[in-house]
Amino acid sequence: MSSARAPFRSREIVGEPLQRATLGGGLRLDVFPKEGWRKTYALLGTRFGGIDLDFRSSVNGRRNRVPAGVAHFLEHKMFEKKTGDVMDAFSRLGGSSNAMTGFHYTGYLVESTENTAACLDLLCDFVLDPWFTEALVEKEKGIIAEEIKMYRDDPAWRGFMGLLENLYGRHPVATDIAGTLESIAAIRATDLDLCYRSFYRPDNMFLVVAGRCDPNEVEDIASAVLARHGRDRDHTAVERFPRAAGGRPARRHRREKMPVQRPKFHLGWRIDGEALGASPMELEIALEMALGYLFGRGGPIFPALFREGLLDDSFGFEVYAESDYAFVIAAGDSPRPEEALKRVRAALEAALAGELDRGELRGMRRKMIGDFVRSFDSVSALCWNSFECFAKDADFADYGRATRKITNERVEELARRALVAEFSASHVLEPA
Amino acid sequence: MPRTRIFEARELATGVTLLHHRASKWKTETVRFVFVDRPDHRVAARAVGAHLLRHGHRRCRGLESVSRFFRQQYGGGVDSHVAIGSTRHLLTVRTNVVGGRHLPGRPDTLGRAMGFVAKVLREPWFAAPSFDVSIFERERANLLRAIDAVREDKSRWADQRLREEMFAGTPLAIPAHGRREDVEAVTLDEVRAALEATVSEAPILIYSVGERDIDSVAEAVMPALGEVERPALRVKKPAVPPLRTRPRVVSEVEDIAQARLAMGFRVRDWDPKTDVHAALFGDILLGGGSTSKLFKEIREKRSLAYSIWSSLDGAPGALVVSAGVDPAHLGRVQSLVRRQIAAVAEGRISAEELESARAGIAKSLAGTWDSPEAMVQFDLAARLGRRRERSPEALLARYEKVGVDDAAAIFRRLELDTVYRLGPEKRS
Repeated sequence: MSSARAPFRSREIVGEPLQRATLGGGLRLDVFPKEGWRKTYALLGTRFGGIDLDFRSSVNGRRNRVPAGVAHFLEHKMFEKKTGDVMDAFSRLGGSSNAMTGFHYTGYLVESTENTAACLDLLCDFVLDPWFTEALVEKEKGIIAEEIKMYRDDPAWRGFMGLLENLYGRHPVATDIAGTLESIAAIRATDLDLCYRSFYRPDNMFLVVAGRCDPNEVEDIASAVLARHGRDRDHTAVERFPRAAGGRPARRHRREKMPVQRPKFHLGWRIDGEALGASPMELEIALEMALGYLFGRGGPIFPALFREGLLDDSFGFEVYAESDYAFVIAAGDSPRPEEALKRVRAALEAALAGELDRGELRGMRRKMIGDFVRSFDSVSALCWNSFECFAKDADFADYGRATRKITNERVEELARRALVAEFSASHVLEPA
Repeated sequence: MPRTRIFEARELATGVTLLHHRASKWKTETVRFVFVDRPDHRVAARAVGAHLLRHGHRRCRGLESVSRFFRQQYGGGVDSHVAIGSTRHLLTVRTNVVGGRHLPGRPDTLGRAMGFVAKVLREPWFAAPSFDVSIFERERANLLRAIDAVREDKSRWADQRLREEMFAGTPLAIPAHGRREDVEAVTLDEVRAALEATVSEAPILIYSVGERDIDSVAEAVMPALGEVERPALRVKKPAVPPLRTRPRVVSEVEDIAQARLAMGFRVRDWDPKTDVHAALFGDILLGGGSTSKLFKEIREKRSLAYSIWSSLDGAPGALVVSAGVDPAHLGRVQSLVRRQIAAVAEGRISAEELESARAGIAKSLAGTWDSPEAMVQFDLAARLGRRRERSPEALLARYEKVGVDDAAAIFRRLELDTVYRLGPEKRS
């Protein structure tokens, strides 16, 4: 087999090797072999997630609108095969498998310490060779309905989705990844088949393996599975119909009641990365650096509001910078959530009106470089970070260098232009 | 595979044990001090104190200064928290930094972090007269928020309420952060006294993972230790309430979409020394993952739940089954759970279930070696649970001797103690 092997391109990141190749059908492969490790973590994923509800596909030659939650439903059903439940097969091999669906990706993983080759073969095989029946689709609806209800009872998720609805209105980002009880009731096996054939194409997928492994063996296994199912000759074409990423929020503010112990606020900014001239990675690094300082425990905003009792330990922020959309969310508990929103907004505006402290930005840069190095201590973090970068057309291997290179001026410029009051919205959860 | 211990142990003084794992495969280096105290009247004060330790020492005061200091060390920091470990109340103070050799200029990140931790333990800012008392008020409020956060996480709340009902009147019923009313009532002086007592007098396990040798780690941690003599670490069997003659059902009402079910069982005549391995094996067969009986029967076959699992607390010999289900199916799920427990008790375990359980245990134990956190938790569980096996391989060998009959024998001694149900409407 070695004669047909795609050549590896080797890189070294923080003293560790990364082997990279493109396999049949365009499947991208990254391998991080790690000496002295017992575990192997493998992740095979595709750029297909909760927001992909409207697309034209060469599978049927039509524009298709599919029910919300279809990517997540598909993820659940992938584990069922004619031969039985894939989880059982992994368990017999001593591997543990799981999957996750995000807004714009779905990833399948297996973690093993024994029978690593067999586990990798099984991972590639079940993801690259699906099997759906109407009866099994119907059976899964009860399980997914319980999952949806579980998230409905989760205040953090309710607040997060409430804010996204305010920011994005009817944009698919504001649709729950798992869908609704009504939308999943409408899902049929034919929907799953169409989505699978449209998006689970090798050229839209990424395999990353980290830990105890031999890159050549990984490549041989993945290539053999691609050939076994004829997936190395897959030529499906798909056109997505994304909605505008930028724009004003659909609604500025909304209050909602649910059984919570304390009021919770979510504050967000809708960002058009393309209009800012920033790649998703550059935008993410700039905003993480600026907000890590501004919203951090040692920054100009948190300590004062903490002392006043307006913010507490729950306060934090997240940056989502993807190819099709970008937003920032800051959230926390507060006894006076409206006042906390007002004060956080005002303090942020004041801080961004001046020059950000150079020493603090230098400290944040160091921290982010440290976090990047730290991520190599976890094979799961390494695989998921790599995959999430792939899903946004970025390269995880460039992250450390990009963090070192971005200038303070660029960080300030992007923060000022992205965190604009006009594109901001908020949401408050009050005790029922 | 050699059955070596994970940590090289060195007694630095009576009641002070340094446990070091030397390895260069990680980018980070970690040192954690685990103070092993009693779950007594000072639980809440200790929990508030853990929050206050994050505010630094007398010469580096407040979150701003601490945060700035650690950003200069390429991230990491001091994390302090409390937890329940077997029958003990643990105060953990931990620092984790990227090793200097992976950073530009090769800074001595661990040395600086250890110097910081030593000062935090010996001269915490909150113990000084200059301490801003309003920070105490805020941190106490922070802890109350953390308590409320458990209340908002329905699954954790159901498990906590079940435990409170099962072990009412004993330390086993007290959450790691204490009761809400105790936290509300605690004063700064009580917190100072509790932390002073724990840090100066409780036995300490110091865990270290990194590329230095044990001598250099011992030298680095010494400044953090005081002169006061400590007792040696001893773990006793917990006091548990007598078994109930009839199971108790506690139903609480909340306007939520999904009902939460927590069923608590006790093992009759529980002896952790002889019973724990077979009980844990039975627990894995019953509800330990995606091939367990509960998952297969209740989720996969009948689509009645998204999440369902079991867990064993080896100190009192309690098995808890937790699930999120449609309120209309609560009764049905309860009876199905009991049927699956009966199946284990009767030894009705398929070859496939057995193979999966054994493979899962082997994988989980082997993976311990790849995570400093997992290594510490493994060793801590062994010491506090008085388990003899101090390496994953030794424990695996012990599990290999456990058969289906052993697990069945334990499950035949299971008695349903309490059922806790949280849902949108009251059910008797």
